Amino acid sequence: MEQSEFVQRQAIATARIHDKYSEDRQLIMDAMNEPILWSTSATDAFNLMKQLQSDELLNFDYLTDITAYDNVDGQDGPKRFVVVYQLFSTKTQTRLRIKLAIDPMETPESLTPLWPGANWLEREVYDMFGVKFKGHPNLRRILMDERFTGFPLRKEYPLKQREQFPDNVPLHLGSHPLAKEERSDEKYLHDFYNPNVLLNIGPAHPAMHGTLRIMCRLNGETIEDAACEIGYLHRGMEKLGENKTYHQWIVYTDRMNYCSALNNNIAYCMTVENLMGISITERCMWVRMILMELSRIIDHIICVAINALDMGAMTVFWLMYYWREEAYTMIESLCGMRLTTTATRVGGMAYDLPEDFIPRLKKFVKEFPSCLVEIHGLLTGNRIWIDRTKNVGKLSKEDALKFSITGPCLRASGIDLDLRRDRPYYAYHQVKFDVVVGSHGDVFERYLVRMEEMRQSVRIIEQCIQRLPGGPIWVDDPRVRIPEKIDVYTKMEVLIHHFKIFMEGINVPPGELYNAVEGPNGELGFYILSKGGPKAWRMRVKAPSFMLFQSFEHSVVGDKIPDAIANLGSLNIIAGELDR
Amino acid sequence: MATINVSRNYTMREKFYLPAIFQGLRITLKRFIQGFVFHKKYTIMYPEEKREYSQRFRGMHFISLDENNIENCTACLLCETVCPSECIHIVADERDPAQNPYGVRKEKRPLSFDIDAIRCCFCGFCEESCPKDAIKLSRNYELSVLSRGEAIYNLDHLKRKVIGRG
Repeated sequence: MEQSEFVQRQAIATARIHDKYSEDRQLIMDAMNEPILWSTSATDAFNLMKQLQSDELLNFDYLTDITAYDNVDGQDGPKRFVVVYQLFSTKTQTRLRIKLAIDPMETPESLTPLWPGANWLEREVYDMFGVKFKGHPNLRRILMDERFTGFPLRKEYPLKQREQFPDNVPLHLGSHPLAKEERSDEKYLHDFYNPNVLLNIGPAHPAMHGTLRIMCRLNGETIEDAACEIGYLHRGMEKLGENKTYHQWIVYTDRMNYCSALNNNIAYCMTVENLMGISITERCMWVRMILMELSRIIDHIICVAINALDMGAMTVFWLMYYWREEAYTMIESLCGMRLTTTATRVGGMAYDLPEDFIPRLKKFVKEFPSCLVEIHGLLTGNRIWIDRTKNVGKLSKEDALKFSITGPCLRASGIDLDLRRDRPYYAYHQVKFDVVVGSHGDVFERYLVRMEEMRQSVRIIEQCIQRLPGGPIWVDDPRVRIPEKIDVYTKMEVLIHHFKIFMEGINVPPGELYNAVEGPNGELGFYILSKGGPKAWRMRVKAPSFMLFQSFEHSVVGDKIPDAIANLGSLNIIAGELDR
Repeated sequence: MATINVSRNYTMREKFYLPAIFQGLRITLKRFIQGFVFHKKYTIMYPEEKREYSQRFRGMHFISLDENNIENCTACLLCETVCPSECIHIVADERDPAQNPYGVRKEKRPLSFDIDAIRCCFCGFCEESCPKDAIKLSRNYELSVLSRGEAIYNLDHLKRKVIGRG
């Protein structure tokens, strides 16, 4: 699919929005020419989205993100907060951003009747800004502790203020955990014959991939109800994004999805570049594509290997981790670190590829598929594996759309959506690869989709190696170009420029942008609102794990406890990205 | 660019259970023979045998010295400004003009230069921003200490004469 094609589709959609929905609403364009529609009131926003969802031409059936930003400086009208809704159409692959200005006392209507996936997103907005949503089923804090005071992403909240709590929130099932009458379940906890035993898994359980906590109500061994508790790894990434310069924040992107840090680096730098209107050099583009696919392979290796390990298949883990080590060694020779890469800079890369990188990569892509064949031999036809994974953790097509899940899990549910093909960035429209889908959306198909996607990534890397052009890796733009060291030591003007870049940071023009790439786990998006200067006004990360873990609450119901572990492993939730 | 559907059902062979088990055992046995008979190794004996990292590896910092064993750092505070984790603390001072063979090239010197290695995230921005090639990251990755206080390194500890990255 050509790059111009989706630009055309976006233009058609924008014209339709302009004709039909912008009579009394303001329609503006962002830095990438995507439409932003200002809704007039809190009820208007809900009705507008209901209309857009059922509009047969636009068909905005997918809620990408809900976030907000603080309008304390009054640039967007007199009201204090602006709630931002990101809509996406799976039919036409177009985006629309709807904005709603509200006062702290106003309550916009909850979107949970339209998209149940809005549940956690609205809770996060409430947690961070204190915006209450009318009709929300369970409006509690999500990333912060229940006992936390203040709203961290409001501008008046100090960066380094923190609160400590000595203990965890007690066991509960979705409702308010501090209410005393709810906790009467607790006395049944040790009663063997009680059909409503509450069980706590995590946050420090070895199968809980990081710091995830699930609380479930069991009948025998069947999970009848589950609630997830997150935020144990919350480090305030978004608050830091508003207080660090664009250059400094590259480091923080490593620590989100640490299994594929390169992908985060690239996605973030791409967003800032698009916001500044920089088009990177041809070589940089292809190098970044290689690195993105390499990190996709690493991430899928981790997911498949750990998923098998959780279910007792140790061999798969050893066989696949050898290739992960190989890939990490290559990445280390590129940027000096295995896991926390910090490989990209705005406008280029920290280093060009080392000399032995391409020969090693060629060896990798030649030999790695044999590992996939071996894993297929060990798992795919194995009846134990099939029985453990088939029809476990099922997410139907409709559920997948309702919960806005992305990536391999969405494709395993049978929805043919891949941003690399549908909204191509860099040179993905010039390489040939197949989009892999499943049809049932169970653990087995997620595994098969990931296995096949690794093969497709190898295919993309092969084409990238063939077409990798020479030339400079850095864009020749004095706003972002970090000068060569040898010039800094010898030339006065370059030294002054060097000081200006590092002391002041990169000056990004005012504007806003939502830019997403197809990360290994799904759509990884960055929403940056800049009001000029070296720091962002609002730095929002749309993390795929967040929506995946929300769907887990629902897909796990009806399964056994060991199935829950298999299900969780197949979703590949990375706690660093989930809690940010 | 096509779309592949990977959905599949039980085949007859999989229903019989045993062929797949033997296939799996064959792969495991092959690996066992590779390791046990032909001594194909994938691991290293770590404390005795060290892993060799590339020249770009970002390990513990050091401050490079010139030919007179005086640090190259001129306390311009660029690394302290750019550090994302705020782990560098520099106190600048003037070099005594009477004992300064460099003239204007090194008028300032760091009175103290502390790096809190526990806070540090080893991103390499300090090295990238240094206009004097003074602060650098070595290839030393064995940084364990017995108390947190020991992990705050001062100027005397950091000053090293190193070729390449150590």
